[in-house]
Amino acid sequence: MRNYELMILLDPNLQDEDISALIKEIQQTITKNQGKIGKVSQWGKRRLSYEIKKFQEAYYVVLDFELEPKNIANIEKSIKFEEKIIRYLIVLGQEKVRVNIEEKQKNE
Amino acid sequence: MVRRESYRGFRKRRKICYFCAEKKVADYKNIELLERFISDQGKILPRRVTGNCAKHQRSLAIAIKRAREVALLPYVNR
Repeated sequence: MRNYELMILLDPNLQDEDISALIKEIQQTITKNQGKIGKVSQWGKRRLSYEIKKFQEAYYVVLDFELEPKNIANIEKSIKFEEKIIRYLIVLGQEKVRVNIEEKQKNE
Repeated sequence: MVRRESYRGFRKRRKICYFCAEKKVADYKNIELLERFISDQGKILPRRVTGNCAKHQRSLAIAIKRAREVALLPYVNR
């Protein structure tokens, strides 16, 4: 299992219910792939630094989760086909990285 | 031989890596911090300006590029 962090940029015209439904949907795909869901932080609407798909602003959501690395492609696929998501970014979670750094320092 | 303090009118400033000093790791979500390391054109400032160590400059560059991907930071600022 690895820690991942998913940032999604949503269509700013979505209703609150749509947003929470979408988040739930993503979390379900994660649990379906034997993952564990972690913290969710909603940043709300933010102005984009540059235009994406003609949008000037977007609704930012950050999801933390744990997943087997071989299943990450399934998550990515489901996000890619969701048209409400205008941009996404999956990175390895900071916590894991931090643990690695600490381990390295111990070994040195 | 006496070592001169200044050379041709400017003194070298001691460079301190911000991330080593603060024991922080560059995160693509921390925009206020990343903004300090980009020029007003949106370019990543070089190490000779920021004084960061090589290791942290690399992780900083990755963080800035990630932030650009999700439109938190601009690619170009005109």
